[in-house]
Amino acid sequence: MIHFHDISKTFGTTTVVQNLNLTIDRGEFCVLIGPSGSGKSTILKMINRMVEHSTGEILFAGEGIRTFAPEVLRRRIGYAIQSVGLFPHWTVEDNIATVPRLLKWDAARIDARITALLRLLNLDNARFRNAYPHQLSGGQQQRVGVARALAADPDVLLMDEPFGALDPITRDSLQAEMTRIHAETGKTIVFVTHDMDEALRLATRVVVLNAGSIVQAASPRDLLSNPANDFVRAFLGKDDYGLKLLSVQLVGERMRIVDIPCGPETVRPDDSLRVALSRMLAMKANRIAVFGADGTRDGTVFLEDLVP
Amino acid sequence: MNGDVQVTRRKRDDVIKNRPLMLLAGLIVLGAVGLPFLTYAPNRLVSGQPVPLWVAGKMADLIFLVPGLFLIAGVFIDQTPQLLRALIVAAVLFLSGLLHLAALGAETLAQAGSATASRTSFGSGFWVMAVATALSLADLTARAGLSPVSRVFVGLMAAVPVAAMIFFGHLDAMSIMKEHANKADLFHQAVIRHFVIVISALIPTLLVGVPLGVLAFRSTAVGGPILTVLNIIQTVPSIALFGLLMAPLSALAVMVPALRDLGISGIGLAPAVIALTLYSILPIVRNTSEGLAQVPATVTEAAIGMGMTARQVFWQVAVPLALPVFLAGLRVTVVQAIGLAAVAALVGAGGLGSIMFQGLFSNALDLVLLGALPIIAIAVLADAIFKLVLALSRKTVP
Amino acid sequence: MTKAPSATPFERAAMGRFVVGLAAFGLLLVALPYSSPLFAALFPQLDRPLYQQQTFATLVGAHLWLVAVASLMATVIGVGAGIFVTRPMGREFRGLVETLSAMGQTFPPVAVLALTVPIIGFGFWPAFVALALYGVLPISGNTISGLESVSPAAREAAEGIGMTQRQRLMQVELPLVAPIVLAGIRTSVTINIGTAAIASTVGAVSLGSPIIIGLNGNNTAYIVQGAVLVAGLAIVVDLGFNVIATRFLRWRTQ
Repeated sequence: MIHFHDISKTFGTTTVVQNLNLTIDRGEFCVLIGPSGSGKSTILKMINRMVEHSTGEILFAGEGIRTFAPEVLRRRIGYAIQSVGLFPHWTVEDNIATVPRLLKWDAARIDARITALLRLLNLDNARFRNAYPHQLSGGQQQRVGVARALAADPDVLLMDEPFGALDPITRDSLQAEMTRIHAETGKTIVFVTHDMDEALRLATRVVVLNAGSIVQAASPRDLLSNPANDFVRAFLGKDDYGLKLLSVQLVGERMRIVDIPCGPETVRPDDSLRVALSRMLAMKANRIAVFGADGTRDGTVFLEDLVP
Repeated sequence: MNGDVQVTRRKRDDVIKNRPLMLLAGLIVLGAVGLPFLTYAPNRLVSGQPVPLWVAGKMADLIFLVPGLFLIAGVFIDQTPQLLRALIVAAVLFLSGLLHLAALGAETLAQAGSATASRTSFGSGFWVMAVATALSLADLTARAGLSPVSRVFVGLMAAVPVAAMIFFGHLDAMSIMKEHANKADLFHQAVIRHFVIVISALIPTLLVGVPLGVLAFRSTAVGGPILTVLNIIQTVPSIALFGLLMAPLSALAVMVPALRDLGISGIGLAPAVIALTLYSILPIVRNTSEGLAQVPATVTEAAIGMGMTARQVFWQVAVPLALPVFLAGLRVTVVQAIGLAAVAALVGAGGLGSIMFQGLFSNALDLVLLGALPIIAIAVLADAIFKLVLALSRKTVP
Repeated sequence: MTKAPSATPFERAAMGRFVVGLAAFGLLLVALPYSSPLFAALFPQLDRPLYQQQTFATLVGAHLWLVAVASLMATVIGVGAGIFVTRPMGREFRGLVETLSAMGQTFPPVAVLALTVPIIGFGFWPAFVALALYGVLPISGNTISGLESVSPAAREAAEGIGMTQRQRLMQVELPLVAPIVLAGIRTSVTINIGTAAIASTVGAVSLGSPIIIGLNGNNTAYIVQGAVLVAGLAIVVDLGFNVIATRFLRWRTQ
């Protein structure tokens, strides 16, 4: 879907990105992660030409990005930033309708799309459609920002640290939303963050960057199992590395199909083992019951099974 | 020890509920009993004699003062929202009542002497009471927490009866209205001229100032010098600028007769409009560029990132968000221009200033009022309109 | 006490401009009485090309005196009102003062000047009253907003150290609001210099006198002489304020 061929970027005398080669496939949730100054935001912004690459070529759906006028390219790509940047003088409805109106969609189609997006982002139509940004909380504003980015049904969604400014609870719920949206819409998402937990939770592929080059690109599980070097290991976090490993493994993979009495807490098969461990510790128990979405008992996870 | 102080303070506060209003009520009482309500002169040559309130009106007419008594009483009553609203109505009624009483008094006095030659004007007591009432209106509306729109409505409620009384000739016995009658055409022309001066200056101001403001926003290298020059112009006193323009303009008119045929010369509209434009450009340039500068960078970034062209970003995002600051600057500009147009009368531009200065030069004080009061009224009205527009537009952008 | 830091380039530039301006104005003042031949050449049709009813120095002095005295009165009243209204005792009056201030600034100064005549008569006093009254408005407005914006942290710290209310006001709050109050005084003085130029229409002697007499008598030379002097005066005073303002800037960024 998106191909970076030998991309470099220089600002004045500083080289921010060098010899980058990266392919982002259709339907991927690709997370770019790295310390400050690693070039991750720059790389993201090169996709929609907010930053122009110095050398090399970037292909978007097979065509060079410079063959389009910038506005045309950007209208095909969704763009959500940390500070959201909602237009304060427009209602939620007008904000979301921005790109569809630029693309001259007819009113009925825009109307229906807004309704669908509000539902997708779990925003109550009656309450929020005609509200102004200043009447919304930070989390609600960011949801509108994501809806706005998705409005014209772009194939690719670019997100630049969108949840960085939110409190942990809101961040957690929005991360869950993103996972769900990705599953439901199958869009290609390129996501920048400096938070490893967020990356591991959301990504289908994590690209670790340092000083403008790719250090390792792998699925979360592979990254944790086989970190390429000490840098990646440090970035993964030495102290809770083991817990992170648990967070990318699911209950369903380790549970035993037995039905014995357990404490009040439960987990689902698609919860992570980290959640299971945390709840077991909270109960001061060495096992926890697993219940499926339909409410039936699927099995039990045992503490001793967590260590492979 | 602190507790004692609070106890005594509470005791005092128990009696007086609204100290500003008490002060103003005191002024009203002073104006009513201590100062002349009207001044009367049997003819123009003699100076006016003070006429106190109780002489000016018959006993029955003094009923119009009752709202004033209620206003004074309001100082001692709990300031509930209902009371405040009632007091606001009382103040409005009292203001009109004062004017009505003055009119009645003037008519009575005119009948006593010669109707045409006698001169009855507002005394200091009238002015003190009227101003104190107007200020109490301001204080009460602020206390009542009225929205800006409601406040404009209250202002209208106060102004409409006054305007009606003037318009329908109720105040014709007052000397100021007699002056007006004497110079009705002149006055009419002066008002129109005043508007012409202001609007003639506003058009080039906006045509030049707004693009300059956008330019100044886009490039500080260009904007810096522009603002410096405009600031220097702003520092120069208006009459000096008018004066300094006269010599070159009259020289120009001599050299290029075509200009003189157009009416451009050293005196009159030309120096006035040019100077007004020069003064007005600064607030417009400054507020245009500041308005654009305060559009949040993240909003602009989001707009570009979504695929708006630079033009679309400017017109759909930057301009609406810069508008409140721009309008604030336009408001200052218009009010300033109304005042400057009054000074322009000195260089022969006409307008209400000419009536005012004629009064000053010939010691005809009613003429001074006839010129000055409308100028103030127009300035206040323009300001109120702008405030209303700003308040209405602020609904969307907090 | 540590030694005060030396002047920044900003301040030096501002001081430089002020000195140059003052020198130029001084030169103008000295040269003008001798410029009769110049004006005679420029305006050959005039019998009296040079204004001589008062010396130019007298006019400048009268103008400055009027403005200074009125501005001083305005400062005292304005700052006093601002302080009163931000103390617990005067808080009730704040709405009134702010309304007066806002409304008053809508009144064109020339109209206020003219309106003092029916009350006070002609001469120096109506001009003084008009200038003082009008000058109160920006100063009180700035004082109020300045005092309101003093950080509660600074106030709390001062109280915690053990300062009385008076000491807090004098040693903490007023110094902190000095820049913004000064800006108000600057605005007020700038307007007053302009209004004082018109004050000759109400009988006060100022640099406007040659201008008004020139306008009445069609004597363009008088007009130019008065205009050049009052414009120069206004610019020099503004440059002077700029010097003070840049000094405050330095202290602020510290």
